[in-house]
Amino acid sequence: MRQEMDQFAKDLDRETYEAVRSASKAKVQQRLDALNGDFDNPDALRKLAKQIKKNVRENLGEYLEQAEAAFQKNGATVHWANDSEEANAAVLDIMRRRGATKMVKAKSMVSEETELVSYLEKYDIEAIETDLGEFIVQIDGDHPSHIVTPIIHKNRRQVGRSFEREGLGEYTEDPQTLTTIARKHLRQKYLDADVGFTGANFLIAETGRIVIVTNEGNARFSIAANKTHIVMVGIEKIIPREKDLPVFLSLLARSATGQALTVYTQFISGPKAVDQPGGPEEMHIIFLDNGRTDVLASECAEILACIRCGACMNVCPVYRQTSGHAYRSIYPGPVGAVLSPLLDKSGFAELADLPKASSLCGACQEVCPVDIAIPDLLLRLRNRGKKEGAKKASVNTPGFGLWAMAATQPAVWKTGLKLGHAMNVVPHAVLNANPSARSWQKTRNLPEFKGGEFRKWLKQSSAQKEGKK
Amino acid sequence: MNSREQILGKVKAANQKLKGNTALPSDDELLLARSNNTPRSDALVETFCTRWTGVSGLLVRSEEELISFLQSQEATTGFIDPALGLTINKSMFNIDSAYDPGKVDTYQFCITPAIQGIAETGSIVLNDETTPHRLSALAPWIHIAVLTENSIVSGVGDAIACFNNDPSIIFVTGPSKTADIEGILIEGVHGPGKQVCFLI
Repeated sequence: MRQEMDQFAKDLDRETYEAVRSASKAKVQQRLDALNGDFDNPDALRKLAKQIKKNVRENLGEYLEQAEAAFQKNGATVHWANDSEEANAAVLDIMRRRGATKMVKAKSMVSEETELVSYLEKYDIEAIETDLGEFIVQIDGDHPSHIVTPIIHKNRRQVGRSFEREGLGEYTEDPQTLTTIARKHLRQKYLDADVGFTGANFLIAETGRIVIVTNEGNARFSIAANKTHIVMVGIEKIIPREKDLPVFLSLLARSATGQALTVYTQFISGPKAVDQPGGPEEMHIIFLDNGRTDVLASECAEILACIRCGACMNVCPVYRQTSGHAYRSIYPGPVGAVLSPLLDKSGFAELADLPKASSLCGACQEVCPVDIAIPDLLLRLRNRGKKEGAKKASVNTPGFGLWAMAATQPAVWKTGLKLGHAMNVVPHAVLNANPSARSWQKTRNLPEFKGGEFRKWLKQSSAQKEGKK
Repeated sequence: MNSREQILGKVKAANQKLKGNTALPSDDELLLARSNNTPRSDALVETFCTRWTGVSGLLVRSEEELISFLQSQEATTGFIDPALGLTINKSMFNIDSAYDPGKVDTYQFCITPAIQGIAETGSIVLNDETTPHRLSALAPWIHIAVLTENSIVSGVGDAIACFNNDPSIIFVTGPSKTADIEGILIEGVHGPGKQVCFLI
């Protein structure tokens, strides 16, 4: 039996593997060029961002209250949702009260967490993804495999076939033409819709503004073309003061795509201005918990600093080998290996193998714009998996009970050393009876046992010294 | 207990447990966020122009240049915000002076104001108050933002420090783009494919 992720990597088709690897490599270089080119000391900036987010975690309650008051003063309505059901129900309720049946949405990872689109479709509401990558995922009935570039696992031929299949146009694999087709098709959707839905990259507590960071213009259009704007945002996205924002804006796009700023950085504090003819008359913001308060109270609270840049997965050797879908959850890569088991509705055990899918190389922490100590958190979760006896965490892991006994009882250890030499004449096939031993030896050669020499030498040399006295 | 009380209760309990006293950075420390591209005050316009064109923004410096550009794009139908006081020869173009959202896909170009420019990143700043219709700055293939040189500020931090209570402030840094398909950069997705700054 293999670890699920090992099996996934083994079954992964070559096309997908190549697509993920080459895109990840490019992103890693773009990030390096942007940060080292534009800052003398990018690490000092990362540490500053880390510090701000630590302050946020320590004072989150006050900041959330401050944000709520500020948004209300600005004319927005704030809702609080404990979990997916409450969040989705809040969206449905708002739409019903507005007589709305059509939604256009920008990319929002929290809405994937709550499975908003499939929930709304049960109530005959059309909810169209407008981010190009997410649109393609939607028409394919697929799932995103990266939090910033959702179709990193697809190539242009696959996209072309999907567009043709959906009747969007004749087959083409030219990315420019495909994009033009999407522009035309989605343009009509924006104009026909009633509600624009977005997430938020940051929530500014001091002044009650959300910040949305995009390149395509789909968030702008979803909002500008409709009379109602609904926002869903994780409670950890708080930034305390407006003047703290440049720290994060200088890191986010550079870490994600190598840009100094994405094309559109929107700062939205409420419904449209009174004299502005275009845009929402109502703005609703849903503060989502969905497990975050439990994470805040846990030994892994630091993961809540994540600003969803994707740099960790771009650099992670495990992510590159397996691709995002191997993680069986919304958040893949190193951040997902920590966050996903903690947020999983069915409990920690379901994804307890994810923290083990790592060599603890630490590359993720080195590129993280908020310097999250991901390897530390992975170790804590491995410990938790062991303590809770999570089956998935111990696939192919040998029981360490025997070793623990031998290591704490010298007589047993010495006997073990003597028996060790016997191992050299035992056929490996016999050793492979144990599944973890078999798996270990698939890629390693068991070395010749040469133990016990030091004790022998120490005995002899002490005896000699005694003799000389 | 409603959801709000439940969530705040759990958050505050966790905050108590964390018992931290991490301070927020001082104004001096926040200066770290200014990149090396942030110019001194005597190089604002020059830096803005370099950075703007560096992100594929198009730059025109006079009405003649603007007209040439529009002709090169074979763009004749458009909307121009009358508050800008531009004297473009109406006979050469088919121009509305009130934005008609019903003609959202008829307008080939729209000309509206930008309130600020950011030299550090090559960005222009739009807002609700000065944009005649949100779609006029977003929907056409060609958008021309009119910017005065003396509204260019040095860095992102300076622009943020100027925020008022406008509900929709937008930093625009070039034409809309995507790299979702194989990481290949395509310009002109849902927003303008040609983003022009008319700098006066």
